[in-house]
Amino acid sequence: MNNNSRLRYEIDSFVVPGDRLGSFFKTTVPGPGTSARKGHLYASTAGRLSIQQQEEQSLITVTPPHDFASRRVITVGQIVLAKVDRVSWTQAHVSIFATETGGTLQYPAEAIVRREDIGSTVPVTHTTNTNTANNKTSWQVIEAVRPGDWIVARVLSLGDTQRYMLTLAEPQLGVWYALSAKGGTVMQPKSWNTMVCPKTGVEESRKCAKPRC
Amino acid sequence: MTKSAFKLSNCYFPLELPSSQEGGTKERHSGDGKTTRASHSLRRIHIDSQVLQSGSALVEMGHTKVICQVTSPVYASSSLLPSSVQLSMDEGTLYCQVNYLSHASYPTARILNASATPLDQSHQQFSSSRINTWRLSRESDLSARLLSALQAAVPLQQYPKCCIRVQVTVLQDDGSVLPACIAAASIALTRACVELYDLVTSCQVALQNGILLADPDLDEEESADALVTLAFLPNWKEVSLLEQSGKLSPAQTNQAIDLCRDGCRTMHRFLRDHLLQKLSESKTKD
Repeated sequence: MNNNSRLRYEIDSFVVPGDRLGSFFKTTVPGPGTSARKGHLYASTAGRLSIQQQEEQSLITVTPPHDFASRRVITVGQIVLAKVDRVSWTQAHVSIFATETGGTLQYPAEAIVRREDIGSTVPVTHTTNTNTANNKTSWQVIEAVRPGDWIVARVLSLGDTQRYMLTLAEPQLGVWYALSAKGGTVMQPKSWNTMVCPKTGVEESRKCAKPRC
Repeated sequence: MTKSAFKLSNCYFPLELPSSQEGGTKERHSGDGKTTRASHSLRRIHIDSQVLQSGSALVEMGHTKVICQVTSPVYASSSLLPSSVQLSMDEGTLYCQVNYLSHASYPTARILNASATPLDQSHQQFSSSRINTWRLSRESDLSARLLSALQAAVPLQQYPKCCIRVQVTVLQDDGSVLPACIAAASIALTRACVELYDLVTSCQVALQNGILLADPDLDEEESADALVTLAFLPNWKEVSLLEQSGKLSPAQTNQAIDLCRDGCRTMHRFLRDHLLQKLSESKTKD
C-alpha cells in the first residue's frame, strides 16, 4: 500500500498539525486533514495518516480521533432540526439544535423562517414525488408552525449577522413533532396540513413533514 | 466523554526568596526546585490537554501556569461572544481572551511598589484600582498579541459566519506568559479538532547586562534592559509575531531572534511529543 507514495511518514502513523508529509504531485493530492503549500503537503490536524485511492489520484488524508470542528458549521443547503421559539405575522423564530453534517450542536443557533418560505411557490422539481395537493402557496405562519414545535428545515442562506434563514418549501420539510394545544399530548400527522391529537381527536393545522417510510 | 483528572505539577514548590546578592551572576532556576539552568535553556515544561472540556490545555513553564479552553464553532447569537465581535459571512473570526485569575496570579506587591509615590502609599483604597488598571491593560495587551500570533495558523475560510473562541486563564504569572499562552492555545486548538496550518510556538528572550537569557522569569523580565518575543510557525518557517521592547543593538537583536527561534524549536518538540503521546493513548483505548 505504501509503495507508490513518497511520503515522509509511514501510513497509519500519527502526525501532528504542520508536519510536512511530502510533495504534491498530480497523482498525490491533499485530502481531508491536509493542506498544500508551495508544492508540499502538510498535515493540518492531529491524527492518523492514510491514503484513499480515487480513480487515478491518491488522496492523502489525516483522520483525527473525533470529527473536525469545521463540520459543525451551518452551511447553505443542509437539512437542520430546529425548535420554534416564537411566531409572528411575517416569520417564525427558531433555534437550530442539530444539523446534517455536524450532529447535535453544542450551542443552538438562531434562525428565522419567513412566511414566503413556508409554502412552495414553484412546482418542486428536486423531489421524485410531486404531490399536487401539497402545493399550497401561501401559508399563515400560525397555521404552519406553533411555538414549541420541532421542525425539519433546509438552510436557505446565511442570513444577516444575527440569524440564519431557513425554508420549509419542500414536501419532506415541516413540523415533525408537536404537542396539542389543550392537553399537551404528542400529535400525529393526519395529512400534509393537519395534525390530530390521539386522545381528544382535535385537529390542528400544521405544515407537516412528509413521513419517511 | 470522561473527564480526566489533572493536577498542576509544581504548585507546592515554595518559590525561592529573592537573592540578596548585588551584582555578579545570579543562578537561574528551572522551576522544579532542584536544577539550575544556563542562560540559553528554557524552564521545565509540563503540558496536559483535555483538562476541562474537549479542546483545552494546561501549560506550565517553570512557575508560569496557564489554562486554555477553545470553543468552536460559536454561532452568531451565542452568549459566549461579546457584542463587540463582528462575524463575517465569508470567513470565520478568531476571538482570543486572556484573563488573570484574581488575586493569586500576579505579583500584587510589585505592581503597587512600581507605581507608588509617597503620597499614594498612604492611600490604601486606591491600590485596588491601580491593580485593576494594570490587570485590564495587561489582559487586553496579551489578548491582542495572542490573536495576532494565532491568526496566521488557523484556516478561517472553513468557518463562515462562525467564531472560534480561545479563552486563556493565567493561573500564575512568573514571566514568559505570552509563550505559555500561545503554546496552550496551539494544543487546545489541535485537541478541539480545529484544523491548523501549523502549530504556533513562541519564546521570549531578555537582555540583562549584555547577556541574553531565554525564557526569563519574572525577576529577570523586570530587571531586563530589553525583551524580545517571537511566535513562529516551525514547519512553514514563518513568523507570526515579533515584538521587542527596550534598547538593543542590531547585532544583539539578531542574536536574540536566533535564540528565540531555537527556543521555539524546542517548544515545538515538546508540543509534538505531547500530541503524539495523547494520540497513541486514545487509540489504544478504542
